[in-house]
Amino acid sequence: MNLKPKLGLRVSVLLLFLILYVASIVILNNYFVQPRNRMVERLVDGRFAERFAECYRQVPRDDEITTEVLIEYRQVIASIAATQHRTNFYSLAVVLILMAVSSTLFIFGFYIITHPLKELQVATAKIREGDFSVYLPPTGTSEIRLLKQSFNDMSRELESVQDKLLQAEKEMIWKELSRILAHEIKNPLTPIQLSVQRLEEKYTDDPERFVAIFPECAGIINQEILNLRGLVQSFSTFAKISQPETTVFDPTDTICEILRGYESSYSLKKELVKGHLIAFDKTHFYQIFTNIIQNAIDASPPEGTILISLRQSRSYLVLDIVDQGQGISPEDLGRIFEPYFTRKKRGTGLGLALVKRLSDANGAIIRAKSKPGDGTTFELIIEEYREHPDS
Amino acid sequence: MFGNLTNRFVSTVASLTALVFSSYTGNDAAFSNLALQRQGDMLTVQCRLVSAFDHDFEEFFRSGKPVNVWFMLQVHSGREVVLEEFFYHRVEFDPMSSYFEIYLHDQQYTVSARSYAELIEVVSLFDHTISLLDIDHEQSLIVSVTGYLAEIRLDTMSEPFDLMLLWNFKRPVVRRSCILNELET
Repeated sequence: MNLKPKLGLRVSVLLLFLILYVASIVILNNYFVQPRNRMVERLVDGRFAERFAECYRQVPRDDEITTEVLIEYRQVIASIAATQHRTNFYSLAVVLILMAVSSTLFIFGFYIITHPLKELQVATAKIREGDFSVYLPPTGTSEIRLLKQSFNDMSRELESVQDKLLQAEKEMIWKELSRILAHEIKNPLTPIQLSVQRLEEKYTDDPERFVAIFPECAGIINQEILNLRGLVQSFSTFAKISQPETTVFDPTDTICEILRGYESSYSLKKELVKGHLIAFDKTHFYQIFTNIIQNAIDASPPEGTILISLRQSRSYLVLDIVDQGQGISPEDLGRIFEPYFTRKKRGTGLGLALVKRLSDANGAIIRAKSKPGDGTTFELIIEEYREHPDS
Repeated sequence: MFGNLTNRFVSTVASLTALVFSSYTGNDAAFSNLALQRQGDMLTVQCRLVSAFDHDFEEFFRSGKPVNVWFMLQVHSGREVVLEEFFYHRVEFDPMSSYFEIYLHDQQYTVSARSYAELIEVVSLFDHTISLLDIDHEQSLIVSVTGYLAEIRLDTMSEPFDLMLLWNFKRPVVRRSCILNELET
């Protein structure tokens, strides 16, 4: 911890100003005022006056001139002392008052200069946080007013640019969504249309054949309707990610449960540590894991083995799912978590986007490592749950 | 009230000045404890100025011009001033004999001092007896003595010099509350 107090610019400059001020007065005092005082003290030295009086005593008593001189001498001495005290007191009092007044003026002037800078600093921080509606009233000196005016112009322009960007982004998303939806809906519509046309033809031309092909066509239509429903469901799921309802569980148990349905059909290799807990939404974990494992199955060759490993790394648990597929190009690797991005023939591009959003919602990190021709590794990093000693 | 504030301001500035700059010292004048002694209907008030004349005063006392050290004696009953009297100690130096002559107004007599130390001893003591005939002996009273200095006019200076400057414009005050019947006689 840094205990050294930090002085602000204003305090530092003020301190420097006061130190210089006092130092200059002390120097003046030592080199000019004190020598003068010493000289006056020698002049009014009592011994000198005594010797003067002694001289007087040795002269005849009726010497009026000597008496007058002696009295006048005493008064001159008192006058010198009075002048000395008066000048010392008032000059130094004036210096002290001037010091207070100039310090006050200095603080006021400094405030006039630095206060707008503070305002600018606060306004800049707001802009950094994304609040472009900051407005600085054009007050202060002319230079400061110009600076504030420039700042206001800049924030207005930034706000305008941000609005345009947001608008463009929304348009782009809607266009992309429309394109994907049109494409995904069109795919099942074609077999449905063909099946319906085929049934119509057979119904009028060949009723016996109609009965024969009806189950097949109805099956196609049903299947494509199911595909359409699945498509709608995946869009709906992506749009409605719920708030995580965290529970504490051992991810190894959950992974084993999920993999039980896959193990009979695919070659899976498990390297899972046991006895470690995570605080995670269990449904979200299921969605994340099934999405990644399904991607790995889709990417792997029929005889390929998928490695699922869970290991501990410091205070984190790292879940790796490694496939032996063709890998992902570096260009695509940077986009795989974007919504609607897919290279699959029949994919919505929402699976990995959903994985990313669910991971973020649960405070986990998802990342992918891949080289073309060398398979892909998805890595899910979750903080290990540790029970508080007091609880 | 404004005058009081001005005095406070000036004395504060004077104290600060004395604190910061070594070329000015002044005197931090004060009173010793106030002694009160009742004898029938008479009350003797006694106190002494301390640290009042240690610095810078000698030249003025030796100037040959009379220097008055003033004392204001007040008796308060609540907020009401029931008695207020002014006294002075006049110091006059005789350059021919080198003696100080001190007239003590409160004690109504004159005394001579050979040295400056003797002068300070004599001039600093305030001792006065007041009549209590017009004062209720049962009520609570506050007796106070305030010291102050007047201006001195020197023939060799065009303007008078305010000796209060040497006290940093601070008037020393001493107070004591009492009930007359409870005072020792």
